[in-house]
Amino acid sequence: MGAMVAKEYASVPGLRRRIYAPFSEVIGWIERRPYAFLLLLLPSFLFMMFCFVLPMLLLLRESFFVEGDAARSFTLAQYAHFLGSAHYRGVLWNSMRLALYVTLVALVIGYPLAYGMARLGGRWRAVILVAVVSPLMVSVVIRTFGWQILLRNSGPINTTLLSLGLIDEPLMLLFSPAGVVIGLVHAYLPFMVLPLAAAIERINPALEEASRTLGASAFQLFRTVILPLSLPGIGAGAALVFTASISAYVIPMLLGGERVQVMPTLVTQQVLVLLDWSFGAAIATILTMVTLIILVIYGIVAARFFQRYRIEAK
Amino acid sequence: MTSMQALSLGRYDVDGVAQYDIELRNLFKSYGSVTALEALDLTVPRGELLTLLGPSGCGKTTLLRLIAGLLKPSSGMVRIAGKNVTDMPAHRRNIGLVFQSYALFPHQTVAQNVGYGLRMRGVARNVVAQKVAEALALVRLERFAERYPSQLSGGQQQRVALARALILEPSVLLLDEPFAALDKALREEMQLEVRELQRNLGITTIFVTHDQEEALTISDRIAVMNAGRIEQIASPRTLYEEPETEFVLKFIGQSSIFPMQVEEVTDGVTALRNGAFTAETSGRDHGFLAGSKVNAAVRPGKMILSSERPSEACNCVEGKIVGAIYLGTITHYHIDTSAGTRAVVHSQNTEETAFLERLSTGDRVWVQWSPKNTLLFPA
Repeated sequence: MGAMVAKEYASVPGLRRRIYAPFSEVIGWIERRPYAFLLLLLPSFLFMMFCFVLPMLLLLRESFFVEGDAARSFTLAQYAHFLGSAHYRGVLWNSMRLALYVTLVALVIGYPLAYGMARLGGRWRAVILVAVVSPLMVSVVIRTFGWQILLRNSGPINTTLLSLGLIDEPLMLLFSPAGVVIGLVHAYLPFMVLPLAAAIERINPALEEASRTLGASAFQLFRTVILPLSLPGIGAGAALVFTASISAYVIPMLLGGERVQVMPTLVTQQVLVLLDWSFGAAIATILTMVTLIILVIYGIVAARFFQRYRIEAK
Repeated sequence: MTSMQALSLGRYDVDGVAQYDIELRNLFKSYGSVTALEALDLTVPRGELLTLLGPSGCGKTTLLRLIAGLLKPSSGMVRIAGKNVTDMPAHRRNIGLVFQSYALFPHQTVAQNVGYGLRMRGVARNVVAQKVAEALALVRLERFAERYPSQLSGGQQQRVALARALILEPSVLLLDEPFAALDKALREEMQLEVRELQRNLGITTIFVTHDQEEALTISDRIAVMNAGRIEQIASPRTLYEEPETEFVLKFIGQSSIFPMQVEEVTDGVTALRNGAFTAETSGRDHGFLAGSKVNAAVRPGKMILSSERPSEACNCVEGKIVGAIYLGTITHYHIDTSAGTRAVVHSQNTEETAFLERLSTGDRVWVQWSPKNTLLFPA
């Protein structure tokens, strides 16, 4: 095989032959080994190992020590400290609830957009796509400062509502959970819309026509055909938005301020302000584990559901 | 036969007024500047199976979707079972529609699929179950009620789609290339099955296909469509034997076409000439004037071959055999005639034509046909 390859390259005339010649042995060596293509994965494998897996493991290790303990003895004290405190448990619960709200709001807002993207023709599709993806094109800090201006007590939203007489005093939007949900929904809507649109696009339009000619109203069509068949998209979108929201830092910090504490802000506080690396690491680990557990349970439930509905989660 | 059947199916009411289940008047449909249907009139009597036949893009599917209410006409009127439904949305029209892609709901069992329409109408659960069982029996799929569509073959899926449409006892049944995805043997089986079902139920049916053989097999009448218009609407036999336009002639079956000039017209006989031969036609008065250029067409089964010139005064032309395809009861001959046209002749393999077996490619023969079988079209 190697000899054959070498001969083949020998037939390439002139300069090219001289260029290929030193490599002909290498090419032959690769061709003799069926799994040699795995070598191509090496760069990304190394990158992931050194830039993701290794830091995660170091973080995990750090969480089992106590800051300032010269003996560096292994302990679960950090975890006990977190779980033993009603305040910290409250922050964890707060994070989960906030992420859930963001997911639900993004689903309600994103579904019509996704449906439009999947079913409308060229130009409208492009308009929706650009509108949905636009938050990803602006720096998160700039975008969030924009929301601060919109949401503050003297901002356009409150002044408009006040002048219309719909409210008597400004709504507490900035530095409240509501503001954080608004900011997060805006940021992560694309993660809901794109997988959802892909799922809806896979539904054969003839199914909708069949449903209509069989006498279904628009709502019945949605409930009995489109919704169940778009469940894989809802599943994927919800998982992405939930994971992104529960681990978001900049938006909760800028729009929630002191009043809205979430896990990532807690981690930052411990590490950067109190310089307690170990407790910060423990909180980060808890956040990661909780998110992972939620996703696993969610995945199992979703798989059951899809199986019941005979939906292929592609 | 057809008229007897029509009467027994109640195509006419007591006053002798024609009852049409589908009535389309002056229907137009355009998408932007593109006209999909033009000034279309069509009536389908009760119990008839009408096929819309034409090449892709001829408007046949557009027409079907207009009847179903999935599209709105740009102008014109749609009547179903005597009622003007032009502005009625699809889900109120009570029509049964069967798709090429079956369009079964993949997340529902066969029974749930078939019962879908009744459930949407809020019919009681036990009534739905009973009707579903009846509908599945109609298409012989009782044993498959609890299966999912993905567990069925193409033919079975299409039978489920039929049951799903028929369970609602629709005023009309619309079939959009329903068997295009099936293999030949299964397609022929399904054609017969659907035809029998349609006859037994007496349901007015419109069948869309681009397959001329399927159209000839299944239809009471065929409407041949081209570029948004109906070229001709007639029984399969009439379409084949007396096509009104060259498009119909070419779309249904084969033919040999000779470009000729009209010499004179006397007593319904049109005399024709081209460089190589002369011919006469009789039968239908085509109204051509002397001197006009025409295409004279003959169906392959209407021509006979002989080794000598049959007579001085005949519709006949000499030619050279370029190919012969033996098919058991018949042989297809391809003959390059001295008139420049390649003639296709389907010759019955009998005692009289036994001499043809001794001929081979390159041998000269005479092609002959009768004046009444010469079809004329403006060139």
